[in-house]
Amino acid sequence: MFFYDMYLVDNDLEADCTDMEIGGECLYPVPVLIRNLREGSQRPNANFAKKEEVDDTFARRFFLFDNQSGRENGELKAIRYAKTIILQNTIQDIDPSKLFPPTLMIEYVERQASTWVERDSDTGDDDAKNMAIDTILFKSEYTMQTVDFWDNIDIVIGFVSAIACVVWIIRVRNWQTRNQRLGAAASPDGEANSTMYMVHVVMIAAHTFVLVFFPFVFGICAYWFVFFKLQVSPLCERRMSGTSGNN
Amino acid sequence: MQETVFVMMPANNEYYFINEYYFYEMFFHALFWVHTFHMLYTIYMQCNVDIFFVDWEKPKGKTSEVSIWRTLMVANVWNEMQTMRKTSIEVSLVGMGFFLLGLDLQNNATMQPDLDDVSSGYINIALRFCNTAWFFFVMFMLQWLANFFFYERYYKEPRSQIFVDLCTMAKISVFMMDEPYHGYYLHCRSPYEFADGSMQNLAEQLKKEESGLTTDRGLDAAGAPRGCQTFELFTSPTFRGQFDKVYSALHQNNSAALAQDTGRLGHMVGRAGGKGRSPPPERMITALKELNLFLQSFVEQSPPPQKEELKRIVREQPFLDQIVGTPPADIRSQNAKCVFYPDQKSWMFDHNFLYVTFMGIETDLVIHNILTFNIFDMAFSNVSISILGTYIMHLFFVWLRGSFGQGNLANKTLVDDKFLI
Repeated sequence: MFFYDMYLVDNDLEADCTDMEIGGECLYPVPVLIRNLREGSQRPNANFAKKEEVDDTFARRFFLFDNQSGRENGELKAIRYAKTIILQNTIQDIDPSKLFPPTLMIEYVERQASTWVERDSDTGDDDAKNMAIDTILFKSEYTMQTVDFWDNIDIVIGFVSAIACVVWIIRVRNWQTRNQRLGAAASPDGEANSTMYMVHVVMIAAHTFVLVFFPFVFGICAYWFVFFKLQVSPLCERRMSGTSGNN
Repeated sequence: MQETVFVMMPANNEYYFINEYYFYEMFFHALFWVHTFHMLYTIYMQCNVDIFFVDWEKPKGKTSEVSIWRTLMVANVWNEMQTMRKTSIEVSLVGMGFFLLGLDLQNNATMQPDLDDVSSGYINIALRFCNTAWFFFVMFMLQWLANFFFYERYYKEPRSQIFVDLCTMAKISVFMMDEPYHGYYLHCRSPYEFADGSMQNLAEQLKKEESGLTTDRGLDAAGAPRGCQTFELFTSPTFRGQFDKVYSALHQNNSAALAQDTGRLGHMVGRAGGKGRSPPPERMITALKELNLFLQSFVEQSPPPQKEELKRIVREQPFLDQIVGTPPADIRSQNAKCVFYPDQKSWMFDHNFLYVTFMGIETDLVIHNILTFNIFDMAFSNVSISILGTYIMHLFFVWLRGSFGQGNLANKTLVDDKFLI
């Protein structure tokens, strides 16, 4: 098994370069986030939501497979390997044409030797056979911090909901004016009126919700489409050379 | 368009329970299901519209009866109009297939920023919704523009106009109530002496009208614009009460009675099925005549009604009220008259009376098509399945509206299902 350390070669890094200078190149260590890291009974990197990222613990060193620590008296009981590796590049909030240093996110899995079956063996255990070869995922992902975006969306949702409410009230009032009359002892619908009244008011609300929120959701998606897909980006052409790994 | 990086897509963090893309999924589902329920409700309401055909024809010669065939003809055309749409869903979906599959533009929604690169890849749901909704919108706009600038301008009249013209030739007015005190009236009393005549009579009458020797087609009332034949109604409770007294004898109570008469339960649920129904009994035919007379005298105001509530006033709807949709302010007061608002077609909006058919709710239907397409996209990630699914959904709505609408029409106008072909 091998341990790897990943560095970013950055020749523009002038200050603070001396202590990391190796072979005339400035190296920036890439932080490694191990998803299923355990610290005692804690799992700081298992996040329920985005805001729980604050307690994430980063590491420097990782491996692709580990066939050593799972040995008992020299006999291999279990191996661990990296199932998912994501190299996440995040653009900077203030100057989006710049990137933060990338983060390498790794999820390890563990398998016991006793469950292994040769792929072309004749045990008849299909599940085990299908698991003989695992698929692993590597992806390089370019993304951005969306805290500001969601803050703005929250405000817009409030605004749009207010519009929807006003439209709903106006429509219910119009409908009432049309269909409630002075001097009418009972409405033509008779007893069913109160239930139908409620249903109708709810249905006006449903229609208003769709009429107001359909353009709203389309607007958000169009925002992403226009600003993401219609940008002529220098970054996508340099995608593979933007970062380089070192081991 | 822009030269520097501006945004990147949010990361799809599958590890997180609350993923950023759940926001979109939640909204897509909410919009689809809420809208589907609303559409079903709208279809239900449309299938329960009270409709009545007022025959203006006077008996000719020795007989005291007039032919029913003009009514049958108008009912037939109305029945076909109920499920027609302003834009063709077939054309839209073929267009979607052309853009998304043929030109492979479904890959516009991949997670890479180069729009010219349509190689396949991981599809982002937010980008996909924008992409499909955009192409639906393009297809919709193309058809609307083609209708507006070419088809309805140089080739054919708008459907609503054709219907009103046909009714005018047949001398049959259409009276619809979509809400207890709200409805529409198409005034189709032509200036001809008789509508039921030979080809020669018809040609002569048209020639006379062309040379201006007849009166106007529109409703002859103070405040009505010249030539205006379509009106939106706001009626008084007294009018509705009088109308119901005869009308309910015509359709509501008789369904149970008819089922008893004929032993067929089809009458109970308003749909008689394929076998048609028995001919209406004598008392219903009498009620039909009575209602015809009542509506004629109401429209003509002759003899002048004794009760204030049975009088009508025709006036234009104020511009602001048109935008907000406010009903006339005075209809809720004591002894209010019935109010007729002219319901005229403008370059953008068709006649309001189409609201009781699919043509009036085209925007809702298009939104529903887009949302259905997107739901199938989310479930199967396959454009062909989405196109098929959207079309099946459309056929379901048309079937629902068509069959129940036809049952309603047959029930309320006494025109047998067999005549509605």
